[in-house]
Amino acid sequence: MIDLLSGTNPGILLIVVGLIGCLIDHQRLRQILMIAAPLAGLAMLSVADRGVDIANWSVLGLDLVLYRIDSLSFIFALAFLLASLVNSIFALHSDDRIHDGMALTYAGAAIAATLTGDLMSLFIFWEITALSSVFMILRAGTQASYNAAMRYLGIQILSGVLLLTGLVYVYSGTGRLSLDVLTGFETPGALLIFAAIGIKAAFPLLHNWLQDAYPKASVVGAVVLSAFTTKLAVYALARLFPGQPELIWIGATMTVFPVFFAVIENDLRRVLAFSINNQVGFMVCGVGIGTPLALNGVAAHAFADIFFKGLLFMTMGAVLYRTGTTKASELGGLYKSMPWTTVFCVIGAMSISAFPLFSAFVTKSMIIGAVALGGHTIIWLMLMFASAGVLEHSGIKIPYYAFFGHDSGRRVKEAPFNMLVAMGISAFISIAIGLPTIGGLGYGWLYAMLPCTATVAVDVCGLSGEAVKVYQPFTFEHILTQMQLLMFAILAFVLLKKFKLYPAEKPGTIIDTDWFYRRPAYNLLVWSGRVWRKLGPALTMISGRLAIQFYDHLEEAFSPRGAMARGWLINSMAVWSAILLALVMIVAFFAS
Amino acid sequence: MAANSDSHQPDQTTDLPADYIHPAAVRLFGWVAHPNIGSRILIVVLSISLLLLLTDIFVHRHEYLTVSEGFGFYGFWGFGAFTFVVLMGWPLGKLLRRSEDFYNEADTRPRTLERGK
Repeated sequence: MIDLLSGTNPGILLIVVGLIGCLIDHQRLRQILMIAAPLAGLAMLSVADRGVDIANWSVLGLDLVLYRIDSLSFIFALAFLLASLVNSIFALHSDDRIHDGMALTYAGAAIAATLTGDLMSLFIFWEITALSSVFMILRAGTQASYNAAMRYLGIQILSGVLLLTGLVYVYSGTGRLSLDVLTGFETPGALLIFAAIGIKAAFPLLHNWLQDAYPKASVVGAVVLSAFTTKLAVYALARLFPGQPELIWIGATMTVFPVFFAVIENDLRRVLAFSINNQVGFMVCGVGIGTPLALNGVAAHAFADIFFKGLLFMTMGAVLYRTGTTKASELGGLYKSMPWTTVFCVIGAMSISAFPLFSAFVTKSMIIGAVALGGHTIIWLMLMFASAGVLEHSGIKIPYYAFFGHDSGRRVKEAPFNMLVAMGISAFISIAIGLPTIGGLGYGWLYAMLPCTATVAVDVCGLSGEAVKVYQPFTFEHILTQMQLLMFAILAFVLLKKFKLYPAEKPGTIIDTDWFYRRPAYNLLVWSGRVWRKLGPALTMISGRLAIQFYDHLEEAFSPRGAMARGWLINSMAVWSAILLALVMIVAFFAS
Repeated sequence: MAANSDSHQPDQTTDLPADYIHPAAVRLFGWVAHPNIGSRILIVVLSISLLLLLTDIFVHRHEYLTVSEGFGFYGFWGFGAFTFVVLMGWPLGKLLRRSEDFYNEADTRPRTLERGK
């Protein structure tokens, strides 16, 4: 039994249980399974060996490594399993077997993907995340969510196709599919894989699927989505492209541009979708820096982000569940009827804003510190600018416009108990990992699991056992400078509100680069369809007539009663054969 | 999949009376309803900010980058960045905001099954 537990990728267990869950109508039985599976997964992860191939599978001449744990994959898998458990609790109020089952399958695929040891296995689970996650959007049940789900699916499948093409290139060039086979962008295969991950990580200009789909997902679906896809992409980048300098600028750009969109966005779940871009940007930048401190920061910040971003999505989910909207222009004053949700939202807001004693204070600072150590002044200024921007949209805007601000007059029930429990667990984790280390608890618990430590594996950080200096987040200077940044930003907010310089929240659609494929490209397709409907029959008729005429000419020339059959048979046949042979040779020459 | 026909029905907002306030809300956030709360928050935030700025005089920070060595750099950068982002909201809103049904997908409400019970 222990062998079976320690020898099976916990992600695969979640996938199987999730698929079974889709068939179970009995709500309580299904929900017990949805909670038991991540718990079993945590147990399996804790007893498994590290640094060795635990499960292999030879198929079609390929040697797949279905289960392998090292210090990088462990922390991501642990975060995904915990998130899956919390998400299952958050979903207890609803009775939707497809949603429940697919949420667990999606989580399982993300976990399995982080715990595989080759590119082909990564691709397989990568695709399962795409196919299962689309139900998080579809099950919201509106026409808008259906349309967004189809766009989302198309883009996710494109990412999978790019990944598959890339790994085929890599395999044909090297004969290997192991995760350390890439050493940069030197081959087309590596570039294709990079593009595939770039879509999932929502790189600038490839980001629109996220803001399009996540806000249209179901109440629970948006929470589930926020945890896995983008963080799986961060894991894949850290695994395949650490220290790639291009990522520094891509990441820094990702931190800055969503800030401007978030300030004018009215839908608070869409604001959080921009916030995902922003936070993933810090991680991408850290991967680009690639030093042990930066990679530790990436892993730590991904862990923290999964819980504080999930927490913020849960609070907005609770608001949507009770009021039917997350539009800032229709909300306000909800603290009167949803005080506990308000408390949890404020905890999430303080965590993402990196206030001392909250999680991002001990995680994001590692990435920013690594950037400063590397002497990247402009990048560092961009990250500090984005840190103030995070405070604006996630730290202040979300709690202020939903729960305080102008009283909308809405008086609703507090969130269901199961939602409050899930929010409570996420809030606890967001605070617990941000506290000073006391008796093994606090940030030290998280730091002990980071990928690059003194006993680091060579394949993760390339340090060959070299001791890594332990980062100290709780220094007087760090607390002082962080509080200066945050308090002066809050002062700016108070003054801007007082002097009525803060733009009012207005209903509307903020257009982004998705306008190109949702308007001109879509209209071009529609227009082409109309043109084809009109021209099609006429073209068919013309081509039919031409074909008949061509056949008549052929028959006139080659049939027993045609010109070729009359006299000079040998000469004309020889001439025609020579012409045909010449044509074939020309075609063959160019084709080769 | 068509939108559920009940998607546009009013929801829980009218369930509770207009003067309802959760007992925990009074204890946790009763101070928010104070008439001069805006001015009080301004005074508290301004005081803390100035205190933090003054502290910078007495602390010799060990910075890796020369740009951040200046007096009160973090405070000024935070204030400037926040102000710039918010003020950019005015022109950006005019430039990028369209009507809610710009893509003919105005309805983003969840289906009835998910509504609170």
